[in-house]
Amino acid sequence: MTLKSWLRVACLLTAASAPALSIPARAADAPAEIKIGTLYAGSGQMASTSVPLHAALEWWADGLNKGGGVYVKAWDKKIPIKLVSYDDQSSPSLAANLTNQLITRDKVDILLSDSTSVMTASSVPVAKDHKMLLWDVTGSSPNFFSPDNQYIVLLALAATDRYPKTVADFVSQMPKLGIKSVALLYNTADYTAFQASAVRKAIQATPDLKLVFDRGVPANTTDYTLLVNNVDAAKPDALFEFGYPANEIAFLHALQDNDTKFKFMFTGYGLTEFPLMKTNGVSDVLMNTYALAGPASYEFKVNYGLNRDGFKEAFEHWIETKNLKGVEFGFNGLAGYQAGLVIERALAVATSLDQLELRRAVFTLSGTMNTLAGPFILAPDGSQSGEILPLAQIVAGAKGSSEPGLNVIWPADLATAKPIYPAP
Amino acid sequence: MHRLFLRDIGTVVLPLAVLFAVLPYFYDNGLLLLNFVVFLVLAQGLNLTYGFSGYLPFGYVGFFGAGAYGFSMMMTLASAPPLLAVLGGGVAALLVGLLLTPLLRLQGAYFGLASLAASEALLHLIGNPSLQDLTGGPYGVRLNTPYAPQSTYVLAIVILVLTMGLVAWLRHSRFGLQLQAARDNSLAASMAGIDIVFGRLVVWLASAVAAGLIGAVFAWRASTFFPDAVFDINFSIFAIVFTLFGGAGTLLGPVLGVMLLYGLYNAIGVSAPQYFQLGFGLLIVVLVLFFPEGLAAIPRRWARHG
Amino acid sequence: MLAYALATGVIFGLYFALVGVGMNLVFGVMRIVNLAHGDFIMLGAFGAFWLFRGLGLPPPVVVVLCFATLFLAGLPLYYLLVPRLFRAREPEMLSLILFFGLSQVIEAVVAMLFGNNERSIPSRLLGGGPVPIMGQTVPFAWVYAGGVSLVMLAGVYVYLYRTRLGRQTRAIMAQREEAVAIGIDIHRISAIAFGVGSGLAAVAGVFAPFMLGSFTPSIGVSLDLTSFAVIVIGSLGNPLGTLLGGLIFGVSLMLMRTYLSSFADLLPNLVLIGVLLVKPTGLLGRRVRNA
Repeated sequence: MTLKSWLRVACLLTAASAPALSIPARAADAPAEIKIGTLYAGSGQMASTSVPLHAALEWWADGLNKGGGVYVKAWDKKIPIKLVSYDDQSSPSLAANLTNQLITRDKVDILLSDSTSVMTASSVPVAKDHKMLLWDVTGSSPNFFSPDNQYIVLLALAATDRYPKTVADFVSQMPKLGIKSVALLYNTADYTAFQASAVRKAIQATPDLKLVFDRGVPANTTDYTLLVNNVDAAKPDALFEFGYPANEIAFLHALQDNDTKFKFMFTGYGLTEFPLMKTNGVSDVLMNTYALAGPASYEFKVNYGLNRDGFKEAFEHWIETKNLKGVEFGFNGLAGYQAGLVIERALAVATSLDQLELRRAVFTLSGTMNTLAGPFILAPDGSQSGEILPLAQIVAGAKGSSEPGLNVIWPADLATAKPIYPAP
Repeated sequence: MHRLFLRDIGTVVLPLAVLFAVLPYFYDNGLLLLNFVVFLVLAQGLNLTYGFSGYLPFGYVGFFGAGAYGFSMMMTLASAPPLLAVLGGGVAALLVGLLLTPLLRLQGAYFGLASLAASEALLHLIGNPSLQDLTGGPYGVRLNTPYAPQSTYVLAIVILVLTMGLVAWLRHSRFGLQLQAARDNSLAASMAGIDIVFGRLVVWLASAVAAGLIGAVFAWRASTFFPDAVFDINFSIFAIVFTLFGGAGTLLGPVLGVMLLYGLYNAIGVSAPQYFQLGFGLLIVVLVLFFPEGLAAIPRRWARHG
Repeated sequence: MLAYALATGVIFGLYFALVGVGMNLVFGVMRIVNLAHGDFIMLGAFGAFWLFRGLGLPPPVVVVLCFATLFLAGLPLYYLLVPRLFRAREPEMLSLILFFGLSQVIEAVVAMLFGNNERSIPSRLLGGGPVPIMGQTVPFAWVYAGGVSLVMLAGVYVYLYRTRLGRQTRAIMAQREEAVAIGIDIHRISAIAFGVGSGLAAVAGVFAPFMLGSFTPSIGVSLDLTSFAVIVIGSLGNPLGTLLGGLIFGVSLMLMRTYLSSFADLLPNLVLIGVLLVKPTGLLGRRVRNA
């Protein structure tokens, strides 16, 4: 191509972009719609967590639009929501591009990130650079939060450094049950390794506990038979296992296949995605084991939005009517709804759509809003410090119910039962 | 040689650099523009080794990741100024390239796959929790660099100009012509007394440095990332697809490949995201079946058929 | 623990050989790298999910059905893609790209039709309880999968070394031009080999839920990498070398998981590079190949 033709291309590009630039902004009138931009992973590694979250957001937006839209304080009226969604295909570099696209081309009013820390990491610097508030749904890495970045709030999950607090606190109580030796098996990805290290510290700080097995496995490990055998050979009284759902399913299958049981077993995702474990036929193995009671299984007291049961029913109906493939009620769907609830409440408070005003509005909810995800409490850096989950032992459910029974055992003030040790 | 080289610089390299330098004034998704330049550098870097020595490294992203981590380790461990740290990224990729030189003994698919294994190995090493203090391990990297969209963009364009300048030089210098001859017929070339091994090593390392430098710029711009993000195999795949589509061994081919395919890729992603993967997959299949030698070969084909 | 790791390594080795053998057959005959191989395996896993878990068909029937389906799908796919590919200057290199595109298409279609969530099949459904080995136990499904792998590999041996078709196939593998010269119908033989390769991938896929835990439409890429490692260690283009590659890969993976689990991902790659550097044609390779 010659210089001349390059110039022609440049001119064409200029001409094409000119009309877009010349539309004047009319801030005084109410906009015809509130644009909410978000990314989801329609394919690739992150798809199984991202798709349910996005489905719940769509359900939320659809529900509000049927009633005329979301109430926006700035114009004192209901305005329809437009969800602008792009598929990042689980690619972080594409996610960065598309975040920029949402901000600069689509000029969204509210910017949501994709699920998981790996994908959220791409959006954090872009949002900060454009002074757009990033409504971070489940990207809980402590790396994202610092006092010098005002443009991020974490909505549906406690930050990773606070998330395992209940478990770590409980570890000090373990010798009282007669537990002397502990094994730790974890996935080396950021989220799970972080939890494991919190538990490890707690074990080391408890004089009567001995760590007899401590091993990380690569994130894509989906066969645990050998590892389970190795843990068994170390004869621990208790086992803590942290993995993503794919790891967890494989781990539970391995226990099932080998008839291996531990006197005390904790799993990271056991309750967070219980329905998924159930469709995979491993929920029986979870009987009498321990897990953090994620909002998908634990009924938090609610002062805004649907409670857990109400959401489950509505969301499952939506999945059925929309014929969504591979989407189940679980933590990720719930997180999508939680993001919607926070947005809804913040728009009812904010006096304009200015990004810092939106941030201020979100902060007014901190400490006052209790949703199905738990009490919403923000730390000054925008990270979530509420939504701390209680530790529960999974027991047989009520007759005829498809769901497990829960004995909350820690923290002491929420406890409903004493741990049954050793597990029957 | 000088005349042809200068013609390439004047008609392709500089206009492209100018185009990208002025584009931010007309188009405001600056990150997308940076990514265009990143893929241009990766495609031309790959072109250095594939176009001139026939080695197609599937693990090319390994150099990119090495550059990103070279940069961030210079920043976090040595508190180096960003520009120096970018050079550090280039050096890190150079070292990885040197370490991998034995792979050049392999050929064809063997080489391609071995380089892929090497890049995977590097990813798993860097992302291992036991290296947390050094690399951040699986917890990722957070840099406290001043966020500098303009400097990173300008720097990326400079790296692009250097890389393309090297490609242009190779296309017309005696050294490059000999290498191309060796690529097409290594027996004849070695009989003509050319030190093929040395030549291949030079383009291999140059290609590594180009990817390392741009990886460092990418890391600077991203500032927060996880190991998977900079060792994403899609960087390799895209660079290869763009280069082959445009035409390897040419200067303009990879440029056309990036502009058209990466442009189309982003267009599909924005307009029909639900068919993203399907659309891009079909596109690749059709391109390979109907334009196997790349766009640059089309005028030649027309000429042949008169 | 060592003996147990070795024993499970051998079982997995047999299975990994099955995972790689189809890709190796295709490479041996056509000199193309089938990056959609992992997606064929994924399709087999979906086949097992419906036919076995859903409809409750007996496993041998599922294996036969999956093999037949992918075999029959492989034939037209071959004629659609490969002859055209061969008109290009460097088909070996271009095949990587072409089949990467195909793999994207398959993954996208499957994800659209069936969704992206994790699926698995409890091994218990395959019958039998834990099988004691070296004082510990392995699931019966592993032994089953190892056995089927061995049978399939034996089938490949019979196909290649005991039939007329196999002789012709090997003739193409050894000397493509000569095979044409002596009147072998290259495309017919290659198409069959491509079909067999795809069918073998599907059979490996049937057991993937038992051997690899859960699966999603996107597992293809990592299976491709595993297959590469296995067949390059054994020797690219020599389908029986795959058995050796699989065993080495399986045993080293299990040893790594036992003693240095967090580096388990590193090892297969290092073994691959190491073998290539010491003996570029793979452990059973005969001659140096010029690409």
